[in-house]
Amino acid sequence: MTSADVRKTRTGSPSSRSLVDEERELVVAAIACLRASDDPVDLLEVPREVVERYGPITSTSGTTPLPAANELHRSLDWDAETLERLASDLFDASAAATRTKPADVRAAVRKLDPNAVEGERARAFVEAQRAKK
Amino acid sequence: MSASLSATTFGLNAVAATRATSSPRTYVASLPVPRTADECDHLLEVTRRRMLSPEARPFFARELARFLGAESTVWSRERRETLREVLAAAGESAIDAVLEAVAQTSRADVSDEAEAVLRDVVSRSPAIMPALCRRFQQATSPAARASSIRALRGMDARPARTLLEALNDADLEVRDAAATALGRHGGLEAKTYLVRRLARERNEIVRESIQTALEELGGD
Repeated sequence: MTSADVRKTRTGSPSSRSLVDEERELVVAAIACLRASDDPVDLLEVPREVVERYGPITSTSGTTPLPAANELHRSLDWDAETLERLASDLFDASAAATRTKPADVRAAVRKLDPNAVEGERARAFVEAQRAKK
Repeated sequence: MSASLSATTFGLNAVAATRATSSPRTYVASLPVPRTADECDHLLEVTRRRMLSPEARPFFARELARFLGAESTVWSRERRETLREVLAAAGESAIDAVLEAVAQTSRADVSDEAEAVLRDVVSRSPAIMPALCRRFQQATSPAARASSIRALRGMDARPARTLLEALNDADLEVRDAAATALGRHGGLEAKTYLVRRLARERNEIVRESIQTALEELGGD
């Protein structure tokens, strides 16, 4: 597995199904706010039932500047060996990440209400993106 | 060695580490992992003070960088922001520390935080940008090279030579980052190099990034 592949492998399955479009957009916006950047966002979506075959999924609050997205955050509190096994299996199965391009990242960020964003840096980023509209 | 977890001894451990010697290379004590919010605040405060000393800065920057991407509940969003600020204040020492952290783990959240620190370091002191470009050239870890490039693409100044060099890197993650960066920085030279690279790029992810960069530049 290359570092690029690993980079695209984000742990945590936000729901028992695939992300609905609104949730995906929220997660993309949250990552952009965290980075304060409209760089491309890569998400690898793995169905909950697949993840649960390896171990339990723990609901934990995320630490992005978007509280609404943080509620979707899940953790995989497993040993390194199990995590590695999941990553290897995903790689063997050629699981592919979905890339959100900068223009779509910007569009997702512009939909945010700056008052719903925590942290000065992230709020300034959202306001700057909305001003470019 | 058993690490004490109380807030008081937590601070003393850090102080003892700085008093151990005048040579940063002989700082051997590691800061204990904070288990409570108080310990976390104390860790940040102690390291902030200790990093005022140029001699101790590399050691404490490395120690703090271990906590990038920390998922423990004590590392709230606010504390992670403070961690990044304290690290960024370490200047050039922070570059080595965060790139080392990135090289040790390919986790996206570690890279994201590391890149935020690097951008902050350079925006506080633009004269450090050449040092970041040098680290890109010297880094053996593809993840560290990619993080350097992603950090550079947020800059107003244009380290064009480094970005063009990165576009031909052996690692696809670095080429991917360079393509996006060049799309951001613009210029005729960037467009020319992107078109040339697209003609011989075989990786689909990088090809898509180059095409997106050309779209952002208004090219075809």
